[in-house]
Amino acid sequence: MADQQINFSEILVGPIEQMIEKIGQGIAKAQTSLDKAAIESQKSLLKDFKELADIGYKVNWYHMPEVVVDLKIAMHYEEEKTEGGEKKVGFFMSPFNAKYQNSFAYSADGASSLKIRIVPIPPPAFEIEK
Amino acid sequence: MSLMTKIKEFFKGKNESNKQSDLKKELEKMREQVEDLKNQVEDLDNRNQDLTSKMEATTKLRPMVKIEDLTTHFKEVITKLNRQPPTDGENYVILEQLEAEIKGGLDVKDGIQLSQVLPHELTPQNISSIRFTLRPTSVIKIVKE
Repeated sequence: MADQQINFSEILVGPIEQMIEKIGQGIAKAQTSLDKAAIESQKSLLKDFKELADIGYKVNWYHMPEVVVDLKIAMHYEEEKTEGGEKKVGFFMSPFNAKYQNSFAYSADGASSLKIRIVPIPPPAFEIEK
Repeated sequence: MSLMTKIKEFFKGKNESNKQSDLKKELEKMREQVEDLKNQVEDLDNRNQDLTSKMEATTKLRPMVKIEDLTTHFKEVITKLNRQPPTDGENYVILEQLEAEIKGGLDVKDGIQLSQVLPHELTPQNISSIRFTLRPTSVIKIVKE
């Protein structure tokens, strides 16, 4: 273990909202990339296939209507003291992945899943200029 | 005995006494080193005992949570994430549904509490899971320059 490099972010605990937020940001970034790719495709259509553009052809846009995330986690509860001295229970979770299992010598096969559905949608009703 | 022999014997005795005092010094140094090593071993042994007792305490410690605290926390997470939806600066993502399956032991000493499954007790049957649905909302901005 001593000479093994460990990426601690893979096994350390983090607040639940932080993990959901990080996944959400990744999904938002992916949607932005899809939108930008559609705009670029439409621009290249206008430039390279003018005859198609002239008859009103428009490229499809792609949208992720929903993303279902199923996380297998190890829950950790921790009592924290607030600034006012009150006790509050903090909820943390560790991703239950191969690294975590190796680090703590578990023999478990819980795997998380991320299910993304991407569907084509009609292009929005505005013109993209060259 | 000739004078020469007497002188030789005198120096021979002198050399031997020098050697003896050198050996005594060497022995003293080695004793000090042994004492240092003994102290180091004692320190390390104390640290080892301290760490072992800390590890035992951690293993025995079983954090618990009240069911109402757990549900309130999830409600707060949903409210917080929908008040400030995750964004990459252009698109937002709405948390549409969250389903949590938290596994643990039940403790009834102080009301009903859920006790945490300790790391060494985790098996595929008792890991918790959180399932949530995210819905990206494309925000197309048309800016006239």
